[in-house]
Amino acid sequence: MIGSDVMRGYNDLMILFLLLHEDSYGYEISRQIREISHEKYVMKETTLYSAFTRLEKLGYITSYFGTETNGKRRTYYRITEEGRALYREKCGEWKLVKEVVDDFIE
Amino acid sequence: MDVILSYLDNMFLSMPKTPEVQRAKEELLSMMEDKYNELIAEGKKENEAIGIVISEFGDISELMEELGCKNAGSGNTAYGAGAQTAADGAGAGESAYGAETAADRAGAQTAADRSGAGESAYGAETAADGAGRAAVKEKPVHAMSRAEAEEYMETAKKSGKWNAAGTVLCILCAIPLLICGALEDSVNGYSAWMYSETVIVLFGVAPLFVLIGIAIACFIHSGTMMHRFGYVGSEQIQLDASYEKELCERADEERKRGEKMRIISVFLFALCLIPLFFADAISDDDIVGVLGLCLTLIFVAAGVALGIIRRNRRNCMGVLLGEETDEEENEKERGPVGIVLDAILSGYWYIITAVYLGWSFITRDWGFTWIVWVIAWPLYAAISAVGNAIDRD
Repeated sequence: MIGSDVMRGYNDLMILFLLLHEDSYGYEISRQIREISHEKYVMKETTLYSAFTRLEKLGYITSYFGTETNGKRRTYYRITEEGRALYREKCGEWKLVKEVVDDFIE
Repeated sequence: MDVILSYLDNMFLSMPKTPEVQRAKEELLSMMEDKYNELIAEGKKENEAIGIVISEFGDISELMEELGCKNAGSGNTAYGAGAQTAADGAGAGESAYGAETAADRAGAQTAADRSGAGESAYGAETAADGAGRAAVKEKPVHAMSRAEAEEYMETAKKSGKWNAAGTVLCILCAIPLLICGALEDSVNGYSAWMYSETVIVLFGVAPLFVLIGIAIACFIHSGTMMHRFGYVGSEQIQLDASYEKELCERADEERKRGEKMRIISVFLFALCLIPLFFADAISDDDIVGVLGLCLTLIFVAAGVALGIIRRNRRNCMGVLLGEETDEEENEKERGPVGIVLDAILSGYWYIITAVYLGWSFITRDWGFTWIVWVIAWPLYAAISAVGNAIDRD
């Protein structure tokens, strides 16, 4: 399993990716990250919530209250246009990082 | 659920009661509840689910920097200092997204600093303790957060299971070969023999080596999992006081559970010969005898696996609480004999595996050599007991 230190900087990318097509809430996003990464990466709750706060403060996502069928009130997150732009920017950045690091891999 | 709530309450104790913080707490609780409920739905036990939820909670200082709580560390000086620096780093350029990298860098930096800062802070405290605890143990002190400790115990349990799995595979690896051997005996004629020779290599010997290979992989995996917790055991672990109390209670429960496991494994050892005799009694057929033997091996393997898992569970909690494990207790009174014995015992299970395989291959008497495993366990206890007795005199 990967530690969160290594993933620093790309947590936002994962969250934005998961919000691209539909709005979602905290645990659902955490569950999807675990699932899509084949359990190789589990995002800690504090990391996830910190990212939500930061992204919201900077205008990349917005939040609203939604109600589940079982009556539980949940905070849902929605990506903004700026968020989509940031996602694309981060993707480009990652490709570059990957290329650079790859050059040093035997 | 109450445990999770009180854990969260504890974590937020030193945070100011702003609406932002309140919202963070509610959100985190909601996420933890969801995770807990799903784990329970997956069939996890309550305390197991709580353990996982808590171990995946993360580091509260990360949240503090995000929420801008600068004076965060009333409980834990080391974390406080960490959050402080990181928050300053973030404060340098708050509006632009680029600032995030700065905060990240500061965060990573502090994470590295933290262990150092924690050590010196707690080191001073222990020095003040002076005559008491510190005089007994002169180990460096390592401050361990609740989340780290939970993660350590989860990992230690997993590592114990891998270890047990490896040992089970070592014990059971001969089963395909035994069955092939029995089948060969019941086939007559030259051409049939040719045929069965190939069959034996294909379905008996090859699986044997594959199983041993997997077993070795299990041992290695079990060892590497624990690498990052290398400091546990060599350093003195400092836990949060309320958490330490809770852990003590859990250790007591674990001990009771351990007793049950011990009874079951003794029971399995006592019963292990029954299938063998039973098979012998009901039929002269080789294949029946071998199947009985396989059952016996499975009993032995289950007993040994339970023993390993039990020891591992008890030790991982004990180490965190600073209790002495069996090995350490013995170590104190080590004389020359004990030191030699330690050297032998440290490689004991490898030697036993080697003896088992060597003996079996040379005599080809797979039907008998399994007895090594039955003798090995009591012998292990006997060797260490004798060693201690000699040294004490």
